[in-house]
Amino acid sequence: MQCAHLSVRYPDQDSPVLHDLSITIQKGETTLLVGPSGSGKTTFLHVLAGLLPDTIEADVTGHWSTEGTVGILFQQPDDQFCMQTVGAEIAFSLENRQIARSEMEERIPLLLARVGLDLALTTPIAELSGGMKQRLALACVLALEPDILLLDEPTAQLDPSGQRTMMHLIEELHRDPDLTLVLIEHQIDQCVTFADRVLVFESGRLLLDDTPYDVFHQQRDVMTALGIAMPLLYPYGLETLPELSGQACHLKKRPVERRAVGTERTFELTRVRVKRGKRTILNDFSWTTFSGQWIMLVGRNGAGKSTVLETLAKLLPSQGDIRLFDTPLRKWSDRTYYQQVGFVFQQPDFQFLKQTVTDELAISCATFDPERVQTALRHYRLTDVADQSPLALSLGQKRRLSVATMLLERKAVLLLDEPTFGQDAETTAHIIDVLHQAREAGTTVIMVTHDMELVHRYADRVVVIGEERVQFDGTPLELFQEEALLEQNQLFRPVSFLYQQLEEVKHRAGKRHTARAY
Amino acid sequence: MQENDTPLARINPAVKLGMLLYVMVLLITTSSLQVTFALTVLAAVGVCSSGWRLPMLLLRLVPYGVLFLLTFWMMAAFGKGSAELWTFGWFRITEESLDHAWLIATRMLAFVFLSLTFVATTDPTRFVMSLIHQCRLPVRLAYGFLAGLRFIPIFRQAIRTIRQARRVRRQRSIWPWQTFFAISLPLFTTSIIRSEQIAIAMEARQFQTNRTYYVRPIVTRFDLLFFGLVSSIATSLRLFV
Repeated sequence: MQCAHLSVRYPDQDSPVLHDLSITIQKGETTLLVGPSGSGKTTFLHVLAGLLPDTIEADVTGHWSTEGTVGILFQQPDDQFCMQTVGAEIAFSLENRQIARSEMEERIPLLLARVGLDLALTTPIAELSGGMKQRLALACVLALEPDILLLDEPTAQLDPSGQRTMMHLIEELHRDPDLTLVLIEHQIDQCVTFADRVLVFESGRLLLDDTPYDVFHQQRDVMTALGIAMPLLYPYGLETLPELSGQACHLKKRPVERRAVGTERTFELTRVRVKRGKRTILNDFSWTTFSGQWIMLVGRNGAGKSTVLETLAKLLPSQGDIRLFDTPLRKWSDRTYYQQVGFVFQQPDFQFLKQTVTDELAISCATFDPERVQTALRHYRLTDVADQSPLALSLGQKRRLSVATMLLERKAVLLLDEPTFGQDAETTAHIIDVLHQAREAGTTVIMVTHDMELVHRYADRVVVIGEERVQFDGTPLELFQEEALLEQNQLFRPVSFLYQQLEEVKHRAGKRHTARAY
Repeated sequence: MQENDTPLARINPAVKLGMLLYVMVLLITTSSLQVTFALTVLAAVGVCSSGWRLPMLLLRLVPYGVLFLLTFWMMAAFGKGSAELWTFGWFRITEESLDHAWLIATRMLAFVFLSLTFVATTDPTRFVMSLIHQCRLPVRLAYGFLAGLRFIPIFRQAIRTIRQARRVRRQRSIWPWQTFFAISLPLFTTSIIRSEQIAIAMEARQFQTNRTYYVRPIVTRFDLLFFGLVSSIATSLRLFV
């Protein structure tokens, strides 16, 4: 697979996305592509997949050629299917290759087994979780029997346990000597160990082309300057990480300093039953939250974390007594309630109501004040796109705007559904910073998350939801001791916690490198 | 649309559709009340054997029952005719308008029964495949339709979120069409982007019209027998009642 002097420009853009690129990838190699968002990684993958310029309109110059068939796996699990059921979806790939029907019957179960899915062929795709959908999509691509497999951030939209399963599958594929893998991935920790080569992209050009060790160790400063997420441990392991390295300093960071939680009660729930449709999510749920408390809801996929948030936001009916400031929920009018309570939805697209970013912020102020809108635009770094439609923004910008609309007025309670999900490191840091400030100002922040590093560093209180009850309610450090509980709920301890624990053990033992914590 | 294990579900969807269309044509071409009644009874037999349990079936028929009454009232009270039966204000019921009302309302009900029979016993994938094989529907169109079907649950979820967001952000619209635009605009923009992505994904999986088929409905003898039976019953009802 090679390309020479490859340049790509999209019809509606002035500058090329890829600029004079010459790369040769050998058969059987596993290549990792990294770079800031918008640096042309995905476009490069689309060129290799033969989608440009026939399927996606673009101006392509230079030479490129690929030997063998190419399969590509996309980022969004939902946007890769065209059939209703699992069996028919895999069959779609086989139909395209004109495989005889009798042979399909044999191949489909084999492909499902290969990606570790144990499902009936008639299972509707809509019933699968994100992780299962992505594995099914991989099975569909493998059904094409590709010589070259391109993976465009296959784990970006998955929860941690889905990410791990997917990465194990990819690592297994890497062992196949005939299969060439090209991978874009932000979860570098999990794939850097098996990548043969790393290509670093920067605004359409190839910046570095080297082994993972050279890129992530020797050129560490260059990478950090580009704002690329770095592996937490690589090239070391948890136990061999030198104490003075940058990574160790990062991992040693203790939970942030903050004010004590307030004593004013916000929500008070007594024996509440939370339901979604006919399914009971929580039974007999009693709970009190306090001002200035940062609570994180965790649990496995489909445990009902979002439903709990929607119930608190007065968007779903519930049985039992829910009070905000000692007033039952049903006595609050919508107008006064939502002055006190903000809600940030998981999909920002659907919470925008106006045609421009400025208007969107303007309707969020109680009284219109252009000065405040301008300040907010600057603070959330949206000044450049102030007159654009909110729907035309990038993923990170959308997320910042959705948080901004809820935080313009001070709220007593802020509910957030996975606010950092699928965001790059920069946006995540910005959002967390804003939420931290809100918490310090006395807002109760209740958020659903999968990011255990965030739980470790910021949560005052963490609640595990699963099997119709609250399985755990306490501090993050207490939670991380409960090994069985974590495993049961598909949760993982963050690397920073493990490292700190190890350090402590070493410290107590009084000598280095001999202690083994686990 | 769903599939169950009733005999009606086993019939080739294209044959089934043809059969229902034939009965519909018979209904349109008759102005005799007796014939319409007889064909409605036939359609009712169809919907009763579609595998829905009776309470469920009645529940689903409630909105159509209301529609039946409305149609009946409209046709009866505002129709033309000379033999006056009852007048009140604008309403004027005549013998002719009453006959006409019965005909139209019953015909409508028969159409509802036939359509429900089809919807209740047909799997969309098998239906589209049957259209490809038996009616030569272009493959690209057919697969586009199937991909589009996946949007229905996605849309439902999206509309729910938009409504919730409007509530949380205290945005009430004065006119109903404002709500319509507020909901449909983000829905359209996101679905354009998504359908483009699905098209790219299908293309990347080497989608082509030259293909084999995993689901390949064929017309069996049972299908033909069934078609013959029902069409002869319907025809004789049309001709001899």
